[in-house]
Amino acid sequence: MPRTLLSIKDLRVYYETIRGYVKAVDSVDLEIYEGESFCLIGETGCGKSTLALAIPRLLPPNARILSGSIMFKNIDLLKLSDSELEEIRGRDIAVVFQNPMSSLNPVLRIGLQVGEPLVAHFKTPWREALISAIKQLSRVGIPDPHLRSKDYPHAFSGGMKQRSMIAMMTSCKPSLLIADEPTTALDVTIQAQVLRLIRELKEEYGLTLLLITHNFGIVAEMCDRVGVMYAGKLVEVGNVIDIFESPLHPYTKGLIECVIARRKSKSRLSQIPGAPPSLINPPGGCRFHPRCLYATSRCTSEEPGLIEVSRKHIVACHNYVR
Amino acid sequence: MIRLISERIKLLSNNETFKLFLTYKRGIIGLLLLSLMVFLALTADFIAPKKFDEVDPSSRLLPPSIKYLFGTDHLGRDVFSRVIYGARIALWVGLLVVLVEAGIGVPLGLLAGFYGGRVDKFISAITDLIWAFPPIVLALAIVTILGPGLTNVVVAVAVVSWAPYTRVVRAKTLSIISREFIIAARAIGESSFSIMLRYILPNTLPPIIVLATLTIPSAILYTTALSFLGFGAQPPTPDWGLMLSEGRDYIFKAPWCCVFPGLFITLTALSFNLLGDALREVLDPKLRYG
Amino acid sequence: MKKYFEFKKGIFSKPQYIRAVDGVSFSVNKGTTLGVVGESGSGKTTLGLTILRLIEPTSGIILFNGRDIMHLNRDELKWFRRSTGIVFQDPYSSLNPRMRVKEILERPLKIHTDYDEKTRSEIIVKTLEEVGLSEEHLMRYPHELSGGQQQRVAIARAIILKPLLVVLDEPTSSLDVSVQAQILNLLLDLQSKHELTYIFITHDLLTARHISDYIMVMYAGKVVEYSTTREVFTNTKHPYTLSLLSSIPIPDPKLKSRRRIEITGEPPSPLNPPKGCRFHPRCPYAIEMCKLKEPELLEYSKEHFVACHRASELDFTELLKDITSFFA
Repeated sequence: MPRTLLSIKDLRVYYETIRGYVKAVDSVDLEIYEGESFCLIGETGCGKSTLALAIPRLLPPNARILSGSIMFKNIDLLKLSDSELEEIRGRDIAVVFQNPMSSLNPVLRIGLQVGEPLVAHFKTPWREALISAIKQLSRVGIPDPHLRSKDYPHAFSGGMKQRSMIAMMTSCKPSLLIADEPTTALDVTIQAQVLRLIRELKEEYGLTLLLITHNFGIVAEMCDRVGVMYAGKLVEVGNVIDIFESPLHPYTKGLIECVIARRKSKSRLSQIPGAPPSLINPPGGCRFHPRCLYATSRCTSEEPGLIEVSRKHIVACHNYVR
Repeated sequence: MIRLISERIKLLSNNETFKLFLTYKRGIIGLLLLSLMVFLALTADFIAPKKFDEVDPSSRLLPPSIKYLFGTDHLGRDVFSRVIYGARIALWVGLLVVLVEAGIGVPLGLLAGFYGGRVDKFISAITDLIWAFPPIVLALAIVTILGPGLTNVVVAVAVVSWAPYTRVVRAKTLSIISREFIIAARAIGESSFSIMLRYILPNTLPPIIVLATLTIPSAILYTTALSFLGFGAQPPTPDWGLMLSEGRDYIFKAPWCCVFPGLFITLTALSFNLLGDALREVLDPKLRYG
Repeated sequence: MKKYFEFKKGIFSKPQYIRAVDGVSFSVNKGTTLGVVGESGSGKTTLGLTILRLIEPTSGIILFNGRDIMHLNRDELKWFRRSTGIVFQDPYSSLNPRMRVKEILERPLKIHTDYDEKTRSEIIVKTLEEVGLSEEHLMRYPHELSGGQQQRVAIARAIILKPLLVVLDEPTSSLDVSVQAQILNLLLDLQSKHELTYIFITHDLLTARHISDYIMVMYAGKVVEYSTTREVFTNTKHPYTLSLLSSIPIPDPKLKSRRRIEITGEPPSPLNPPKGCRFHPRCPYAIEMCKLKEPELLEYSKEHFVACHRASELDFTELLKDITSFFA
């Protein structure tokens, strides 16, 4: 039985806007096991990034965490003060963002930025921190790390910035690495390189990986288990083979078919009608019912809970399709 | 231009930009103050107790009282009535100056941003030149040539202060011109003129409106200054600047002759500044939800 | 088959420094789709804009319906604009935020036809319905539409005058998976209905494969491989195409541990491309010759063009078995 590293219960994160509350994450329960690669997949605005960034509490200022608990190694992260959380961030929980251009400080040399977490968390002297920063840069595949560590971020390409980010984030050997669309801004060949790097580091350091993506290809390549999100809700969780081969939720099924059907050239793709709903006034009952081909009257009125259909395969649907 | 502005206002009233505006207290205060001025200007004929040029030698330099709310001036005219009529002149002048400024500045900015190259260099050089000149000195020079009078003052003030419009519109044009809808417009065969008029100009309106609200007060201040110096409105016009100038000799004996016109100049300028500040934040999407 | 679109050999480069598209040469037949695949900086977008004469090339010939589009008079240029359309990646940015849908679609009609108000309205509504929208969207502003609906409006604008050629520059890349499928279906439907010719520019080989009859792979401003879609995917000849194929994440967890040919390094700056074959610094198969001499785009077999010195000796079928099996 794998040990649970992270356990999220009844988490609700809303954004305050002038139009009203955006219910980005609404009563989500999720468990992530030690050493696994877990993928959160969903379309734009489904709340996947909000869910992931709520863990280290790196949310925009208008976000409100209304309820829930996030247990990480038997500590409720939501109960920690900001300074207590800062100690955990970067040391135990590291985050790599989508846009490497804006997540590095443009006025600091790369080497300093990569070594900084060591100084901050372990009081390592700068001299040593810089040496291990160079080592770390060479580990992530930056050529001539001695020289390049003295460069400023603008001298780096997108791929190299993302590698440097990864170097910085893994310098303290954290137990959980949250990667929020880490390759979306990169070219295909660079994406493949960065994904491989993340896979290798995961093995090397025994990291647990929480990867957020909208790309089913990346899910298939990177993950052991998958959580599918729709309109602020987790609608299905299962291991990657089950999700691809026997999806239970009509939404997952639709998405998978959209992707897989591209095997045949010029064929019509099966499509999910409509577009995701507004999260200010999401539909009542099951949030997917207005787009669902299998919706019944029960779906419009009663919100489905998560049902464990088989071991480790959970779905939130009244009439899940087998 | 006016049609576009009115369309913009229509758009404001039914979408959430307007709702957002309502969350800015400063903006609301500015809008209320300005509405008061507009109300005074529009209804001056009904609410002013006296005519602005009604001379009464028997009641010269009387202090404020129930009969003369703001007192009377050296010719026995009711300061309250004159201040109210003055609002009409100030607002009209402010509006006129802005229209003339935008009329010069906006097309130049569009041309400079759209064509770039030599056209841009030429227009930018003129803009910089105008900008570098002390405006009041240049305005004085122009009025001296044109001769005194309110219309000439409007022209003079507008001629010295259109440069910000060119700069703002040029910068906005440059940021819009690389957007894909401009390329798409070319691809469907739109002419350059049509692209400037239908695609770029409407998108430069928000900063133009903000700029207008911010330049109206300085336009009012410049024209009152010129009137104060005797180049603008001629007696007995109830121009605030002229009133200040006339009241100057009695500042110790009858301070109300200067205080009230001065107060109204300040309030009007303030109302536009408050409104402009709020509009700038409301119309700039980058500052939203911040 | 009638040759519809021809792009003769020539040196394409933006003024002075940036060498975006050099010596590109290809043709597209009526009613078919050419997929142009490449990474950022490969010159694929520049190529698309050049074909529609939205960027002026320094030299070269583009023949459209037999006419050289670089030398068109006023009327001919108007005809050319009417016969072509373009759809961009970011639908919001490609629509004027201050125009309602009705006005956006009315502009092409006003510029190119003298239909009266009523006829124009009829055509607009009909086109809207064709792209899956309806009359209720007429008076909306772009920001009041979803991303998918915005892209439908952009497509409607491109096809409203029944053009011969439409350039689609990453039309689905910024959309969500479920919406992507809707838009791809729409594009395929419109193509078969109006016999449209597409040039589909994308970085995504899977999408290119789905929609294209022919695929052209570009690298650093050069065409490295061009052939039928089937041929490119099953009989890949250029090492760069191979590495692209190998790099795409395949949505099948069973292929997780497939053999991959991962290339190192990053695409060169278009300002200063490497001498010789532009791909040689990253190519695992490069030999001395590749550093010295730039390979020409040669017809390796019928309708299969490859720009690689070693095209005839390299065989990647074994390496690509897994990926080919995914598409089988």
